[in-house]
Amino acid sequence: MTHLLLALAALAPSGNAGDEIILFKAPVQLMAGDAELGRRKMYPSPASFDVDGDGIKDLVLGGLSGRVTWSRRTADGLGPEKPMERTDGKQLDFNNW
Amino acid sequence: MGSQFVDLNADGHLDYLTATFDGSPHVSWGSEAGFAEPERLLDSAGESVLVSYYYDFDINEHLTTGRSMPDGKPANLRGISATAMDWDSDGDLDLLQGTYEKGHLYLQMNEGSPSEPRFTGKNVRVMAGGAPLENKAKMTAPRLVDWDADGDLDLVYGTFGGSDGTAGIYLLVNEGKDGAPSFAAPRTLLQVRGGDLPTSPTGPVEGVYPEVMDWDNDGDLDLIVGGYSRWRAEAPTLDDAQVAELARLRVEHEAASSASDALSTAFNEKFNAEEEKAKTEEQKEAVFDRVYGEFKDRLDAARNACNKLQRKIDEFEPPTKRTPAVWFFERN
Repeated sequence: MTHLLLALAALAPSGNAGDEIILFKAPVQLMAGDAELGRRKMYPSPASFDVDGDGIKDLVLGGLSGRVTWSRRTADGLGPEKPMERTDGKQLDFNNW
Repeated sequence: MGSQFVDLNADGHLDYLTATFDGSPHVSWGSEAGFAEPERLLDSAGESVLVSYYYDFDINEHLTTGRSMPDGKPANLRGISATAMDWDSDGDLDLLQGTYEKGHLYLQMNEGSPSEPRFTGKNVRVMAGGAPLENKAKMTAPRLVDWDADGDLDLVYGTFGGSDGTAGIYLLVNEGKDGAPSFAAPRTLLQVRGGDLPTSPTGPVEGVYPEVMDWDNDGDLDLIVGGYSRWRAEAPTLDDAQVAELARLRVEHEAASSASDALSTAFNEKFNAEEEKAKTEEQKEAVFDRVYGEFKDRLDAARNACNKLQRKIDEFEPPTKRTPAVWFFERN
């Protein structure tokens, strides 16, 4: 894994002199249904939020276009990415570029 | 754009706060019915909240202003992320804006009430470890999270990537008191680098946007990270016939590429010559439509021929790919 320098060096919580190294495991790519989550976005930015109010936090994805999508999370994983709708039924769009 | 779900007007519904490359924060107010059409966040003077560099939609230009800068001077600093926290513990939410250029973070206080925010329009630089926070690799978006579970909000942010090809995720531990946050110097949570290309996407190396949460419900905080991978599929071993075929394809591609360029040049020359004669904008548009109509089929065909040959070449020599995705980094 020389191509990906996973320094992964998280220092310990404060108060512990920062001498303990915490590592993250190698990253796992998230799928949304059968598709790669964020694959059609430019600069995908995830945020967790319970969109459908079922008590499970879903993933909301922003991106360079400003058009927001979300993927429903269930016990089976993440569902297909779909437009996040506003109250008027249009896609939530922050007009980014 | 980063995203924060936060009740910015204390009406019991989470609002959607973000900022975009126009240089200002935007909010979609939440209600029982859902999220409304986004609007720009305004300060107490009714002006857009911003850092300095912004896009003026009235005149369609990028401008800078010093009106919100600590020193009053305009700077090439564009706020592209926004997140709200009650900095001074007075019950209302104050605003943090992160900049693309130089990776600064600015605080703008809310002097209104929880239900009626009134942002001052004046930014203060956020410090980390006694120095103004900056990161040459450019800030994507900050997230607020109690990383060390001591009851206050710490700050985690990602970077786009520096000139050395390294991007990362950094933690600022809040060592202050309630109502007076004080961030320690940044600690590296994750560093990624695009150096040698893997043969498949193995992780984000650029444009790193983190979310911090306990994704696998095991009691610790993981990272969910959006970003770009750079990779190149493994090149097949070519036999002699394929080597010859590749050489032939390259020659053909070069010829097709030259033909396509020549056609583009011919189109531009003809359009420019005829456009000069046009007097009104309307006439110029008509000239474009006519000349482009004349060239369109040939331009498309030439471009398609190039692309087709390139795809064949790519089968022998896989190109470098840069693909966006979202990744789960499980904390050990």
